[in-house]
Amino acid sequence: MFQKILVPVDLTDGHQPALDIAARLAQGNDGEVTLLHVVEVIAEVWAADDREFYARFEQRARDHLARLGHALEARGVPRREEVVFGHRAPEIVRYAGEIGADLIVLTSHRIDLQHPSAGWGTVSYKVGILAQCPVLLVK
Amino acid sequence: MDIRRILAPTDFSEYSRDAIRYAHELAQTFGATLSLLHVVELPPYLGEFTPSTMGEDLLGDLERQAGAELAQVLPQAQEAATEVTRSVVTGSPSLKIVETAEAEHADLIVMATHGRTGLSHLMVGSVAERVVRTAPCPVLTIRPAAEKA
Repeated sequence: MFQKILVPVDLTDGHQPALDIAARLAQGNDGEVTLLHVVEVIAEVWAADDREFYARFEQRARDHLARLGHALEARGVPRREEVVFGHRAPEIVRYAGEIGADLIVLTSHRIDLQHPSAGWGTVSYKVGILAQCPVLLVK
Repeated sequence: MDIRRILAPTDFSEYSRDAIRYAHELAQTFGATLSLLHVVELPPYLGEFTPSTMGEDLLGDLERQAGAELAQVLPQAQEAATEVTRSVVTGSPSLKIVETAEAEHADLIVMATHGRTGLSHLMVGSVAERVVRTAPCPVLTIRPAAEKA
């Protein structure tokens, strides 16, 4: 059912619940987890022209993904790591289509019920609307 | 994280069948129980302009009809290896889905992004969108198969 599982992450440590559930799903389906980090590009500083500017962001992301990847590997879950450049929501959706992901597992922030509209602009919310495959939002 | 209880709300639409299939497969994979839920949404005029006994009769009919329909959602043969429960409640769908998830300590909600209207349920203010934002547990949203191509 879910064999190509995409887990987009930022560089914080708040993704363990999403990684746990992705690992469980992959184990249950002989699946593979692809860890993705999108380096958000600044409008006036394009990656192709300013490799040096973005290189340290990329390296930091690769180091972070490698750490997460090792934890998955220790659980016997096949995994890949990928760093791409762009704007997070559209890039996650594009990349999911490119690799034929059949599930995206995303960390979603808890919503303050006193201010429920605060969650409308988040990356997880946009991916939930735009993605062409099932999306699992984990809080 | 263990997935022991899966909640799958359905509005009986064609779209929600896919979500139920996913929910059932996940329940089998994880040995989880599967809770099927239908929320009867009260017509807004009930309670305001309708005599209460008439409203109760209509509500009772709607709940009985929903119960019968819910019994057909997952044929008995498919349930063999999975514990399936069914419930019908009345009220606001998004609120009742979240309340049920809390009451049943659901580890996962599986639901379609579209409903009977065919409109995306992840649009602002829709049932799935509200559930996604307010649920106490992870939510898996399933897009209609025709849209995936």
